[in-house]
Amino acid sequence: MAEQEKRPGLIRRIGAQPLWVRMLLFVALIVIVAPFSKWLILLLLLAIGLWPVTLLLGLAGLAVASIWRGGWPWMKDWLRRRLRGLVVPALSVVTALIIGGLVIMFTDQAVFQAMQEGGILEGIRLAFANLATAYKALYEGSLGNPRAIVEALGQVGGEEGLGPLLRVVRGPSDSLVQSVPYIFAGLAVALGFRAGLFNIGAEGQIGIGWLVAVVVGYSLTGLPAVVHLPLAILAGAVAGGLWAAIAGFLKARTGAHEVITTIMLNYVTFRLSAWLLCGPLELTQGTCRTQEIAESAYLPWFLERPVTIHWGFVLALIAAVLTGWFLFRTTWGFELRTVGANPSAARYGGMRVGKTFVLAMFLSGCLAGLAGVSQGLGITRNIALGFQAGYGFDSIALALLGKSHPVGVVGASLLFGVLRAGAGRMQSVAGVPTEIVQIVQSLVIIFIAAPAIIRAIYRLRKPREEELEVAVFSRGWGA
Amino acid sequence: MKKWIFVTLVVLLAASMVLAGCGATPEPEVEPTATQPAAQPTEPTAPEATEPPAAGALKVGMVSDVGGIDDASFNQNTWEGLQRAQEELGIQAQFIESQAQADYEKNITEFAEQDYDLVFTVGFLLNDATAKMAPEYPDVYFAGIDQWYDPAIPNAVAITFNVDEAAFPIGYLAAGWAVLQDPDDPQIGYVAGMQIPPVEQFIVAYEAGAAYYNEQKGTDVQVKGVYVGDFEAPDQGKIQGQSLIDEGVDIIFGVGGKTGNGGIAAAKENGLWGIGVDVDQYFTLPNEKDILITSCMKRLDNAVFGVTEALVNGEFPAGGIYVGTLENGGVGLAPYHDFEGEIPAELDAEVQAIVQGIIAGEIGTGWPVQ
Amino acid sequence: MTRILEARNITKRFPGVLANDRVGFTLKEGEILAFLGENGAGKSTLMNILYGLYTQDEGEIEIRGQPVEIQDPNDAIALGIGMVHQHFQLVPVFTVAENIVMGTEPTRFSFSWRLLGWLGGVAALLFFLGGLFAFENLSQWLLAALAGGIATAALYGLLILLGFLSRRLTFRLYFLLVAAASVALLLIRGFVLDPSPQIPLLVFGGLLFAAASYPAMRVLATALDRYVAGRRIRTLSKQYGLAVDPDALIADLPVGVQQRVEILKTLYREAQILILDEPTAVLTPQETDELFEIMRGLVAQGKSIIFITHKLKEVMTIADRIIVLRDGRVTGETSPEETSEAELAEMMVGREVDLVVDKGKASPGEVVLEVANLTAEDQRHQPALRGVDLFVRAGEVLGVAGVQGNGQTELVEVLTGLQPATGGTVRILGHDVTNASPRTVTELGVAHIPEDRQEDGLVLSFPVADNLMLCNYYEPPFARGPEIRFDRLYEYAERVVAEFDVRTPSIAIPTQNLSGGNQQKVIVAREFSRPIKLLIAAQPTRGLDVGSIEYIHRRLIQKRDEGVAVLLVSVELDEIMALSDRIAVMYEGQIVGTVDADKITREELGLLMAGARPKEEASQEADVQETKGGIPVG
Ligand SMILES: Nc1ncnc2c1ncn2[C@@H]1O[C@H](COP(=O)(O)OP(=O)(O)OP(=O)(O)O)[C@@H](O)[C@H]1O
Ligand SMILES: [Mg+2]
Repeated sequence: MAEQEKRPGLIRRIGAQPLWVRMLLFVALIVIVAPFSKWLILLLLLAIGLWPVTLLLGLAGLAVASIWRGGWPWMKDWLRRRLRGLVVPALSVVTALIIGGLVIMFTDQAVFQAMQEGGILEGIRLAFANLATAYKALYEGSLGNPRAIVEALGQVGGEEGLGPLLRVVRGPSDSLVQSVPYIFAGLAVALGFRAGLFNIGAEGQIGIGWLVAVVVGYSLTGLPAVVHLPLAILAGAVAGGLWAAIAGFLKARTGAHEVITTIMLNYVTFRLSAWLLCGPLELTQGTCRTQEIAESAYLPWFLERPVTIHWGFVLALIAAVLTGWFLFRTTWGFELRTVGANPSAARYGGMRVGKTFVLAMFLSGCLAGLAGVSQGLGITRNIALGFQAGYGFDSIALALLGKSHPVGVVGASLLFGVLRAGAGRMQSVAGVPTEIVQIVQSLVIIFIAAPAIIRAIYRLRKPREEELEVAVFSRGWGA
Repeated sequence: MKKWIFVTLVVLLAASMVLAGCGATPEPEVEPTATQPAAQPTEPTAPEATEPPAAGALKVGMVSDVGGIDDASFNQNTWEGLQRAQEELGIQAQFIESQAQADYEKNITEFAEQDYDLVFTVGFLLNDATAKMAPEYPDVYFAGIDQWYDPAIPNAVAITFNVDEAAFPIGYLAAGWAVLQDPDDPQIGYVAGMQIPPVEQFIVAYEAGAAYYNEQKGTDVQVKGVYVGDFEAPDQGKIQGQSLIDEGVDIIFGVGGKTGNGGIAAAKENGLWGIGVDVDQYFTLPNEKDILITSCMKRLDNAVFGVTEALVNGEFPAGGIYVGTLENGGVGLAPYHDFEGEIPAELDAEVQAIVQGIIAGEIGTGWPVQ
Repeated sequence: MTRILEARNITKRFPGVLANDRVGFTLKEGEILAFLGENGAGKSTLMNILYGLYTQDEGEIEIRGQPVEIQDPNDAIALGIGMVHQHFQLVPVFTVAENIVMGTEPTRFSFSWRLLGWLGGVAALLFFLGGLFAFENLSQWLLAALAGGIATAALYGLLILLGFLSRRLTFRLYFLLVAAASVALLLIRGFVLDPSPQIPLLVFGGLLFAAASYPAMRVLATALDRYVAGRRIRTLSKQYGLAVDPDALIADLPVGVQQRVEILKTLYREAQILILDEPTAVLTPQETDELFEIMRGLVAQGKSIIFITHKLKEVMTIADRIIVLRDGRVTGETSPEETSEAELAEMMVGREVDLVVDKGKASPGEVVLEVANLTAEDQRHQPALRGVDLFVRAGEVLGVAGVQGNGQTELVEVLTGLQPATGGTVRILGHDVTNASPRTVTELGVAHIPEDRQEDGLVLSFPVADNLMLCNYYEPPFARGPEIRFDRLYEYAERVVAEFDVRTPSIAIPTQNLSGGNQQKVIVAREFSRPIKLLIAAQPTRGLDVGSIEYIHRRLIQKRDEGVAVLLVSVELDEIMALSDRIAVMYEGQIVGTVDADKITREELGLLMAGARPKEEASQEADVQETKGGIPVG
């Protein structure tokens, strides 16, 4: 507990160190932890799979910690502060799942057939049975089957090695893997939002980043991984960034609205990549895909199949931290946010608004490019026609959900990753179309974008902050 | 004002439950809307998950490409084959629709981890993923449609189609039709997508079929056509189709996704005729169906059914390839539909004879090009 | 005169501030009640409570003797309360009539509506929860529903325990949605797709009709409203002497008229009580007089008005009674007959206030700012500056007087690099800074208090501290390498906030939560705390209370005495007269004359501002010569 007490102090003390010290510390941390990364990730996956246990352990820890600091009132306050922002999102998810469930139940022909044949009760019974199967599959596909995990834990040390354990944590792993591009792309759009820019072009920038990373990945050979991998990553990021910077530059120079230009750049990307993939970069004629990248450019996996979680996940988390640092701790970030919040005031403060637009678009494009890089180097290891997955468009919603804050974006991305990971299993086990998951995602977005709905449904109290938002209306010289 | 809406709602809730309850009892003769798939592009319905799998039933999965299961094209066609297998062979079939390239491996894993016996992967875009995943799961059989493995994989079969065998008689048929409709200047045409071998295979045989007609009848039917260079450009296809028609073409063979459909649309606008591709497009082009004299079909459903049947019978051609031909029904000509009776019986007989000739190996289709 | 409104013990707390502390007052029918108080005394907060934008933490409000609860502005409007905010809530591209009618539809649920919601909700709950677990027979279904209910109750219990839920917890809207969705889906899938049963089809049609007719009726009602509204607006404006054309576009109207539209809007909603929060801050003296006429007309016809201002003169002219707030508490109640400006000022601030600035003679040094033949355009690309010449020396205050809209705004923007000049030169400390970037100008030691503080001077959503480094965030001590040193910033901010008496609970709260006057103080604090050579101040005391005005005036003179050159732009003649050493009068984009402050009277200045040629040709000529014909040696 003493350790808990010290923690904030420790973080603050590290925060006060000069930049290079912190960087060194960070690198040191990575180097020390890397050899154990396999086990740490496995632990993480198990913790997700057994989240009720994790949660209870956490609460117990908190309860113990509270003994020293004032007991239940302190704990209540601590929880309140942490959970306040989560109430509306959590209820949104629940509500969206319920509505999605209704859709599952009542869009199935068989249910109505059963109603005709066996009466309404029979139909409803079938509908609920379908729902149960579908959601069970959704859950197992994304968070794993807790019972199976416990059983597999019992077998550890058996002759099959880690095999059984890996098979049961595939769900959590898939969720994290699916969330990786979401995190990157969501951060990209969020960063743009902070600068007052609506980057609709993430989809295209993802494509460019993916393409360039893969090309660098296969065209250079014989390099050691420590050189090749970072090079490929960087190339993809910078390519995405430059691509996006075109829109920023056009806005700064000519005032062309970035929504228009990024949409158009998307089309350029789609056509350009189609041509490249079925033309100059094609592996052999008729395949419409590139060669595989060299092994030295692989984003390594932590474990082995079927657990495909790769270093892209860690990179995404680092990117989130860096984005947060950049936005809220640096002078550039300050400029960017000022330009986003009030361009006139930014000009007044001597900032160059145009330059900031270009910079913001560049960085936003870099992040989006990294989404492509993580897919190309971590999963597909090449790029083929039809690589677009809509991450770029979903990411707009993610940035909104996450209130354009890195922590929020990561949270929202994990949620979307979970839903998306479970969709395949839901379809294969229950025959429920993956579109249901899109419906649920969209509903979540609607509810979070219009929290008044959720608050009205559950009679939640208007938060203080909301009152302030209302108050903005009434400001003025005399406000 | 809002109040009464609400009153209605609540009353309706109650009423609907009651109605649903009695609606079922007194009218046993009322059938639910038809759901048999036939050749029609009905929405694919998955079987009830609650039904316990028949003891020992084979589990067959299908991973679609990004087109989705209801693409009115090869994904849907594959699933129709599996549905038939489900009915006739008593297997248990499921599918997963891929959302993106990055999902292919994940979706294959999904089936493999659920201990499926056979997994179909649909489309050449899944070639890599299948080749990568098959060795990882040696206990599972894989079948890749429009794919090619080099070297061969012991537990996978590549399914390809000799579409030229169907395109050749179609070229013949088209030439015959053009002569019939426009004896002074008979010309036939095509609007194709990208110039890649799978597309060229159609075109070469189509041209050869027309040439065979000329040879037999001593006519001079011209073949004109374009490769638009895109599968997704109906507008371009239409423009190119129009210019072909301006040059005197009487019938257009649309080869290559939406682009080809654009060419057929141009024929429709000019009161001319078209030929569909891949599936029986009579059912997928409701606008143009009345001008389609036939379609050059790749019977994925037959191929899928055939491969599945082979597995059931323990004759799965693992490590080999399965070629869809005229002989095994893997490719074929669609019925004439609205042109039944308009196509002279004589011409039809000649076409059937050519089909038999190809099956017997007596007639060459001109593919592969020497 | 009867009491129309009575407030008792109103208390409102914001994190860290007690904005209103047991405030009580009464408003009588047909009177003008003025509220006075320092910046941040809690006037706007009190008004926002009356108008339902905030809810009080404690205290009661009675209207005509009836206790009322005002949850939101709709309640306030229903009770006959109207409010005109400082920043108008008008849509510029709509006409006057459209703006007035907008949002007059009722939007609350009635009681029976809620009751039905409950019934529908319970039905849907049973229907839905039952199946979360597959069930075999009816009793299992009921059991499952029970379990689901208990689980939900437990979840709610937890939420209540943690304080997330309001007291009245109803599921109604939620169940309503669920009920609607399930009914609709059932009907669509089960019956409509199967065409044989006729009744469900009809039922479904009725449902569709019900749903569709609602928006249709809304549209119809709005159209009708428009028509009736136009006629009512005309009657109203005649009745109260508010000349407005209902069909004019808001964007085309001057500020004073827009304000009338706001007043009309409240009257249209049959307000009996009008709240005007600092309505005169942006009006010209003439417009203010017109407003006062209107106010008199309104009270003559039985309306009651609450009026807030910082200008003591206005209070003395128009108010029937005056209530003074300080630190959220009522500290006095009086009337213009019983008091004087000085006394009022003292009541507000709690000490004696010098209403006259005492300043010594200026000792001008060398020329700091030098403007020659400057021309520029306004936003509509019309010439706004037509050849401005002026100079400011170190250690003197040059006041730029003039009626608003004669080019002062553009002059300041061109000088600070925010807007391009189309001709002429600007030199600061000998450097040519014509069309230089704002950063260049700032780095030469120029401070700028912008005219529109919310647009240019502040990022309202940022914390107070961040706004204090807006111009030099990139330099030490605030920056180290690429990083901002927030520890340093916070230290600095604490110090400056204390020094300039910015009333804020914390330097970390968003600036928009500060009272209007305190926002202005943040800017002043920022600009005065840097080492500067030239201060360009546009309307520096707009919206400030007398105490703060006094303070800022003293600081300004202090800067002058430290050798800073000050260019003061203000529409307040009193301020110009009180602070300036020399006065330049702007008229239609030109300086029509520059005179020594002690050689001119208010009246003469007023004439100059109206564009009249000065009477004393000689002295005027000399001054003009001085500015035009080059720079004095120095
Ligand atoms: N939304 C809010 N959140 C937090 N504090 C607030 C908020 N609104 C007002 N305050 C605080 O309440 C106090 C009273 O503010 P209020 O706006 O009522 O002052 P005021 O009397 O109108 O001042 P001014 O004359 O400057 O307009 C101030 O200290 C202010 O900082
Ligand atoms: Mg105020």
